Amino acid sequence: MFIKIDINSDVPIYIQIKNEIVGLIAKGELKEGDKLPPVRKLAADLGINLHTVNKAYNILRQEGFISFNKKKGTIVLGRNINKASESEKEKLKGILRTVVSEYYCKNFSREDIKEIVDQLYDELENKILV
Amino acid sequence: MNIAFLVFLNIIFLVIAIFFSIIPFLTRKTESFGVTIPEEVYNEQEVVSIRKSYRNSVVVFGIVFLTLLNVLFFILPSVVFQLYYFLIYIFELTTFFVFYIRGHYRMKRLKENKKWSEGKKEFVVASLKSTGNQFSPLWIIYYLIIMLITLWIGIVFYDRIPEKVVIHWDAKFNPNKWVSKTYFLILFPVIMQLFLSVIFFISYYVIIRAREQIDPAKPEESFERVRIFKKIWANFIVFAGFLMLSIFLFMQISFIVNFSPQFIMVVIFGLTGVIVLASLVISIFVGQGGSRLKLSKEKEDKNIIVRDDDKYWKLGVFYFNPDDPAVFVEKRFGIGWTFNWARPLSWILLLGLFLLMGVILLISIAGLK
Repeated sequence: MFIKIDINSDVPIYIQIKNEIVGLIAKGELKEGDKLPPVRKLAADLGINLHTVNKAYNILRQEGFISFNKKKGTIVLGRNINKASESEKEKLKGILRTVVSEYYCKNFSREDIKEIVDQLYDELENKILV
Repeated sequence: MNIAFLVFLNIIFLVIAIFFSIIPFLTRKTESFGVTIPEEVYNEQEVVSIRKSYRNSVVVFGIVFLTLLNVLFFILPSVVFQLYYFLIYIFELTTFFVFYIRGHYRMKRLKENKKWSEGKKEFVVASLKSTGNQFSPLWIIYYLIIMLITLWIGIVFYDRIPEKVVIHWDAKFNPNKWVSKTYFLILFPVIMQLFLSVIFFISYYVIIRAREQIDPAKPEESFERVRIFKKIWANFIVFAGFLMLSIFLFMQISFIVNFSPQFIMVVIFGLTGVIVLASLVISIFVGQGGSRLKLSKEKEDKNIIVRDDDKYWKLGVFYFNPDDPAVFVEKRFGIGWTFNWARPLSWILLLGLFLLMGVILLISIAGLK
């Protein structure tokens, strides 16, 4: 199970780390109770600053994806563990709004966008029709 | 001077030359002469020709120096030869390093001209799962047992040690150096074992803690290679240390039992030879980062290349990157690991090592009379 970081991307590295881990949790590759590597090890393996990894882990914790435990280290909380708060709902909606706006500007129809969302959802549930 | 000594010198020379001549063929395929390249160009004709030209230079000059070594052995008075023969190894190593540097700059220039990485994306990949190579230094107990046995033998058989113990023979196996029997004499092998244990313990620590460098174009395969690479070398270190400690156990026994110098030589060089040969064989079959292991190939993503961190590799061999928290990283030109010289721990370890060596040397000089 790997996380892959694009070094020259416009997306900050800590966001990329966060996105990769959320993606793995969504796909079920990271399950509840799984351990994440210590900040120091992940930073050394990626060859990036400690603070960058720390930042990503802190955001993941704030959003309820992982928890820090003195004995066990960093633990994945998994899916469906906590309901999104109102502010989180707003934040996610905001992200989606930007994406939908961009599709809208590029002339995607309501159905096109729905189809894409369905497809992405299916991917997460491993229901891709070949 | 005798022929056994000359054979021994020749073997050391050849081991160094063989190792240097094959290094460029043992590296990861994403680098050559300390320069990052896309894997697909590793077998391109111009890249191959730099490797071959380097190898040919090493072979030719290896033969020249080897001839020189043997000629000097026969024409120089043996006293002079014994004083200066080590210089030929310094010449050998310096020359090979110069050939490396030439290869490094040729490779760099080629890379600048070819612009291989254009249109490709640089990625870094890390595994969230460990390679399973855990730091479990319990083997140190075996080392302690050998040390205790060595000490115990020395104490129990102390009375049987002769008043003068031979520690050096001339080339005709006539003894020419002795030390007096003291309690320090039986402690000396144990001190050496202790010193070696520290060295091997640190080496083991470095291997386990070293960065797990994964090729982003084929993470699964690369991860497996690194896993096996680390595992084999970690085991090798434990095994090599065990043999080295055994040499000093044997030394203790040789104080008590009157072995023939020939037998002592065979045992010591035999055990050392096993270690050197094993490391050479592992290097060839495993390759740097496990790159030469025969594993099933993962379909690689051709648009992705490894991060180009050439600017942090001075001359392609000295890694200095203050932004990288990793202290131990894979060597680029060679087999094994090296330090990130921007991390204080690297310098602390190096200094500690020199200090330890100095202390051991002083103790030995003071103690063995």
